[in-house]
Amino acid sequence: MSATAARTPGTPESPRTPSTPDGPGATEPKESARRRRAARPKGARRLDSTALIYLVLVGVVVVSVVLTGIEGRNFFSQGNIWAILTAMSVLGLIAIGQTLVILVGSLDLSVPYVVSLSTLIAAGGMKGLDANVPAAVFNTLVVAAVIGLAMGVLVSVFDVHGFIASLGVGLIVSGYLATNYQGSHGAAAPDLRLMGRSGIASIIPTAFLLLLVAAALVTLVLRYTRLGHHLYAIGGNRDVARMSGVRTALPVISAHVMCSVLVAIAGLLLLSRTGVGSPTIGSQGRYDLLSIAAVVLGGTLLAGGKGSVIGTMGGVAIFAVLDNVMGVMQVNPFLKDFVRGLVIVLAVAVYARRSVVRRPPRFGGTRPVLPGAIAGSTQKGEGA
Amino acid sequence: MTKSFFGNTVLSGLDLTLEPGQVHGLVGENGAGKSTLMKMLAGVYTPDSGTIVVGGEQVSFSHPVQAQRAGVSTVFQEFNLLLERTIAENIWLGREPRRFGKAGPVDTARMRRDTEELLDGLGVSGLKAGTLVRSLSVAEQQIVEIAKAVSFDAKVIQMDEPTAALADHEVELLYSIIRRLTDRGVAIVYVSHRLKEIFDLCQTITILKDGQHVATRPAGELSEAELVRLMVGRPLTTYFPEKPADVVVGDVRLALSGVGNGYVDDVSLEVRAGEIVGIAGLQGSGRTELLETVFGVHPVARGSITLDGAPLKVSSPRQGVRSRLAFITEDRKAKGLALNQSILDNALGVVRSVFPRRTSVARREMPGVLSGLEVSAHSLGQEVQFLSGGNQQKVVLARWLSIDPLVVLMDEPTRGIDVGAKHRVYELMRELTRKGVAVLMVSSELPEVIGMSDRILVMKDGTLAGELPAGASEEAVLAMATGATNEEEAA
Repeated sequence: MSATAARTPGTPESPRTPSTPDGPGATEPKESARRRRAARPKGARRLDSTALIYLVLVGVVVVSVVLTGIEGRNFFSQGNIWAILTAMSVLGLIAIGQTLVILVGSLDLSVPYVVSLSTLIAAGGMKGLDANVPAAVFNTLVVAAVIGLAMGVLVSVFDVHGFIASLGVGLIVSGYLATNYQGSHGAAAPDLRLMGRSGIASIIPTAFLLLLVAAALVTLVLRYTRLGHHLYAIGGNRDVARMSGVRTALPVISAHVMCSVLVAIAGLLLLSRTGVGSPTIGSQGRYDLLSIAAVVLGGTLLAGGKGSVIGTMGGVAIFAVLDNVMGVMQVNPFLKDFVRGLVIVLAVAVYARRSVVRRPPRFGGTRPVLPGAIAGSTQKGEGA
Repeated sequence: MTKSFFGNTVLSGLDLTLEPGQVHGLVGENGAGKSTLMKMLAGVYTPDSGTIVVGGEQVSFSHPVQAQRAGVSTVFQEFNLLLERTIAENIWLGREPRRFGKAGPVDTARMRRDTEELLDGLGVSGLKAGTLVRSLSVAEQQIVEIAKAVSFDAKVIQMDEPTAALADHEVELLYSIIRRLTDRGVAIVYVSHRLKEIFDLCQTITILKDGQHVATRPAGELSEAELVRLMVGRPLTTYFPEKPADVVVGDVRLALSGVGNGYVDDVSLEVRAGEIVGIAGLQGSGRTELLETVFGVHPVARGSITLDGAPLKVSSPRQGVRSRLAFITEDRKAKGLALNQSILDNALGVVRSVFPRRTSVARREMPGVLSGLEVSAHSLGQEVQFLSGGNQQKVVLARWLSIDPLVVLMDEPTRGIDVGAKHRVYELMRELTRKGVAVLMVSSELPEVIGMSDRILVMKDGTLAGELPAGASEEAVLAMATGATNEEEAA
């Protein structure tokens, strides 16, 4: 006891002294260095996960360019880029919504049914007339918001897990669709159909611009609003958030409402392309699982609390490019799913490994225990 | 500043007065009511009766945030931090500063500035406001917790076992932060099992026992022995059961020679049948990892292990169990038990999965084993999550006894359990040695290591620093664990 007391309070610790406090007891630097290396994984500098996703995207694009070239086609042709960006926009909007919900620690499985429902409400309301567009769009978004609200309340107030809450609500909507609509219904207004075909320089479709705007807005919300900060906090650890005075219900509800509204907008985009409302278009697109897959591929933790829209966009882009190249090569649909599945599983395996490795070493790390010395007497912090 | 209390059952009739700029030590055994008291002050529990007065104003808290607003902040033993968020985001969570009035966006620049100002004020440099909490060491996370507590303009800061996870030199750092806070007139409530810290830091010490207020004395008027006597209510010596006379220390049961991997290095040791070998060392010195390596959790990269003279090759815990090693983990709730399953299912868990053919025998014997361990429960069907820590630990022990172990690896066998259960665990260890079982025990409680072990091994930086005989002094163990032996001799 006296031995430790010998170390006087306020002794400045060298910032380069890892876990051997002091004294001649800490000899054999070579030995401990070896051990330290053994305890540490290789590759000290580690890519941030968003960078990794975009690196993978670049890799996928390169492979696709080659494969498309082998088929005698140009990957970067106007038509092909247009096709990829169009494919991205619907799944992208849904995946942004899904990102919000997953970040807060919930899940949305009702997505495909809300997509179908919104095409039906919008097409039914428009009846092929431009004059009906504002009202039809408004109604569609309001209905979607109400569905999101219901799920949000179930999750936050009644403590039903998002998986079950959205599954239940999704089934209810699906039942409603099956009993009330036998086939396609209504018609999109000409203006909406025109928008579906419009774009900049026949390369960037308007739908994709819409996706970019949504991505930017949601990113701003996540970064610069309390709501955004609290979404992360609740998803990270609901109890910690509550103990810190965060009201946990409102952010969860907001996330679900925003998600469902984004999904409805995606439904409107689909309608602009197909021209008629369809009760099965959502489930055919399998937007529930694909959107979750894109979010996870984008580096968002399925458990919540960590992730970004930018990452999700990367995930969506990877899927869009893969689908595109497999379409060009006329790969059979089962193999397509096989490749998609493989990509998701591999990606998540890599992430899981990274998060294990990223935990600070228990002892003997190469990093000092505290980056800066804490001196009892002097204090000249680095400031801002 | 006055605080008075009149709690109930777990804690009753306690009056506590905190002076600005003073550190008030709160000591007592587990279950003495320290946590309850802290939680009431923190607004987690509401006292059944009595009042809390802060700075002359009577207050009542029903939520931690109310307590914080009133100037009472608490650093709990379990960190309340979001690992995937930055330091600044953690500190200002729920109170993020905003630009342009109430509805504006979060002022991230100000958040960063305020954070760095706050850390500077604590004398901490080198922590960046934008660093992810996940990438911080435990000590650094502790500092973030303290900074968060301070950020409420706290008049009172409670710290629950703030050094539990810190290495020795990091404790100094905590001391310097505490001194800075008291210089500013903050009153500190300091809860710790480490009496040295209590005497180092506190001006006044309050002793609790079984929910009763035993005494409040100025630190200068108390000796360590007296403090222990007040806490335990009996002299320390009768605490550990005597080593029975009929134990025969037999042949070498478990032997490690030059064992090393990413966690430990060059560890050679022997444990004989009927022997208890204690492993002491600081948090993070690789003690737990050593046990885990023997058990097969981490692969052995270098060196070899033998069991009863035959080479022991374990590359998974399952193989460890098959070789009849038992491992009582330090984290009973996460790794030792399935909390929402019954006592019986938990107790049979190991046998069932590794030696399925012995299950029916074990099931027949289990009630006897459990009552022998004095597990108190309504029935064997009760879920273990509703048991006290001591009873849970007994279920863990029963679970491992059922495989008739040759070697028992114990990691903090008495962490978080009451005195009675502790005593039962110690007795059980003696019973095991009588049967010729080899026991390798890791513990942070030095009296336990010293009182129970036949030999004491001290770990430091992942390797063995030396061996001490039974009955070595705490000072000698600590000196070896911190590497201060030479320093001491030189001085």
